[in-house]
Amino acid sequence: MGDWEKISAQWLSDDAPMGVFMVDADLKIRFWNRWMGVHSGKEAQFVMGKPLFSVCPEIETRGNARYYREALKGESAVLSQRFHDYLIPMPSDFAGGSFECMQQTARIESIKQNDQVNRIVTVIEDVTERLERERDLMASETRYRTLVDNARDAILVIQGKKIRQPNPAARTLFGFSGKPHAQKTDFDRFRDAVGPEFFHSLTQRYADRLAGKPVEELISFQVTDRNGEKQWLESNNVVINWEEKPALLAMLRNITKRKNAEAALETERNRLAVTLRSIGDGVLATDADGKVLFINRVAEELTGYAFKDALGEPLPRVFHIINQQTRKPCENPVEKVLKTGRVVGLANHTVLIARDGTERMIADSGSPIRDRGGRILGVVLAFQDVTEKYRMEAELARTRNLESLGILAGGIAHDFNNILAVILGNLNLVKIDLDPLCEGFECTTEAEQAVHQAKALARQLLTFAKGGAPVKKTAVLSEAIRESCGFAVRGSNVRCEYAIEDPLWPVEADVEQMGQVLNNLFINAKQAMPGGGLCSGGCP
Amino acid sequence: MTLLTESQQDSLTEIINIAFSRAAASLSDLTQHRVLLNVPKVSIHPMNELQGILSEFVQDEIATVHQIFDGSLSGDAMLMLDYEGAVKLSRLLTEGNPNKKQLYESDREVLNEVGNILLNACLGTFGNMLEVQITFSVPRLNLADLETLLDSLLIGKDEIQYTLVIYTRFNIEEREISGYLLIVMGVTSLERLLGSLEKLG
Repeated sequence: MGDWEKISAQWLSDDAPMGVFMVDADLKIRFWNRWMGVHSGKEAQFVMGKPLFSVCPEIETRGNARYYREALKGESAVLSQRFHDYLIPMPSDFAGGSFECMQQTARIESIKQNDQVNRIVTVIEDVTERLERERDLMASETRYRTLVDNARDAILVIQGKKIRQPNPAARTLFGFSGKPHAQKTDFDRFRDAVGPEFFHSLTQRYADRLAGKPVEELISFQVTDRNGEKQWLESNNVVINWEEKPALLAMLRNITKRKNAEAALETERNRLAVTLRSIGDGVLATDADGKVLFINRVAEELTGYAFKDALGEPLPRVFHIINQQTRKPCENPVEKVLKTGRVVGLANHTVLIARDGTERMIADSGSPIRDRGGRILGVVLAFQDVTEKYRMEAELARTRNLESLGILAGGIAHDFNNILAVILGNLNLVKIDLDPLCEGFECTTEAEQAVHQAKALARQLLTFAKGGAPVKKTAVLSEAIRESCGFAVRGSNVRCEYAIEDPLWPVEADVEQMGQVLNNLFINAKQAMPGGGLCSGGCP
Repeated sequence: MTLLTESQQDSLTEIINIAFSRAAASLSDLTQHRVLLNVPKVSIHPMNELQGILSEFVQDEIATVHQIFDGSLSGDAMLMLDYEGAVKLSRLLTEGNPNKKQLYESDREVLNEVGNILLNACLGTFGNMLEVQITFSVPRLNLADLETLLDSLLIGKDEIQYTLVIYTRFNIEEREISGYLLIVMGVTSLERLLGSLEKLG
């Protein structure tokens, strides 16, 4: 035996950290190392040459003798701890935790000499400590697996073209089978779900991420799930070392409901924005600091500030209001709302001064915007240009006064008309008894004509009382011209001349009002000629 | 392509069924579970065809229980499972948590023992048939990809190598796990095996 063989044999006998013993073809012990002596409590000098099954009867009683019989035929065997616990009962330094005695793995191998099995070697390894560690490891794995398996997010590892360790959520989402030799691998299913276009960009992102390039942490994308329905996913990836190779740990969260809610919110927001922009009143919203957040089209026109110019500006700059009478700035309505927390209205006579200096009377109200918890987030002002309204109201008041005056005049005219009727009737009676050639008859006739003109005046007053609407009818104005002129110049040294076509075309007019107009014209002419003169009237 | 005649195929299937019955009985006895082993397909292929045949079954890492056998018949014998199948088989046989994904050292020992029983039964039956004694090395469990495994089988072999491919199905507690039993032999050993099969036929 060479030196190395001696050293090896010495090591095996005295220092090997495992049990080694040998039996011959008669199953008698021929080698028993120190480890066996120490752990079994049976020293080598007491077991050498003795039958194995008498030294270790448990081998036979526990049904393991057959491995030695098979070894005699050249077979070898491995006795795992899981199936056998141990080959030879021994106490263990690590026993007392989960195990009562030393847990062993044993290997039984035959050694041939001249084609005959000459020796059978048994190697026993104490695996008690390793099993304790394994149990801890399994418990730890169970804990982590519980977390991962119960996560609602899909969790998986992507390495090359392989999907590894998909959790149940990922398997359900993508329909992973977990069978690498299936017609469609899990990776194929993932690619199909993501779609060819996005898959390409996703692959690039993953490559960049693995290469350590900066890539956006969170991305969202759409996939088709195993049922063919579109789902929105949000992906958060981490580069990890998986079985000593780089891989991506992908955590995919289904955000379909959130996306749908966001889309609905966006639609609602757009609808509200369109509504607010289209509304007839000016609408202006501020945050809790009184900075402008929103301004609609009408408010843009009234303040003279475009949306982009008004955004973020303090309210008083955009919404500059003063009192019409005192010309002093009004209290900031936003501050008032924030202070009181209530809906407030503007005082009367509030004037909004636009960016270009235009002044408009406005009426408005401010309301707080509150969140679900009642906290004030800002203020919304709704206001309208009431300049025109004020003007209309003044006009209406004046009209009402005129109307009252008309009613009064109408009443007087009615009574006056009645009196005139009495006068006219009596004049008619007087004329019946008078000689038409006498001077009194002519005076009475003129008195009659004056009464008629007075009646016409009374009618005009009635017309005014009715709202001034002319009573138009088709008439020839030649007589009206003559009557008005004759009446106006009577008793003066002004002479009248008429140039009226005969026949004159009839016109549609209020004859009484026209007569009044002509009468006034002739009176003016008479008064303009105190020394007398010629007054010409006619229709050329 | 298969190198077996119809009668050789029948004889070989029958012998392997006998061996598997023995192995199944041993496994049932050991695990206290009813273990069934089916042999739906047996074929012999030159080594260069093996990659194509097995790559349909495994794409990732595979677990093999490897034993070298020597004597009148010599070569490499192995039970081959995909990683997931290996974990599942160990857990089913030892009533471990079937949801675990990792192959612990204890699982490796279990697979070693199971592979050992299966390979011993198979090669032992071949030995009985040839009336020769075959010696087996202690089994070793390896984790590797298919290409690495096949390359390792050819190292140091001068002779043309053939592989007896036995598609194997374990049925345990109404669960099924598929794998392959591969027996790689040189042309001399194969000739000897086929000759014995002829005699049986």
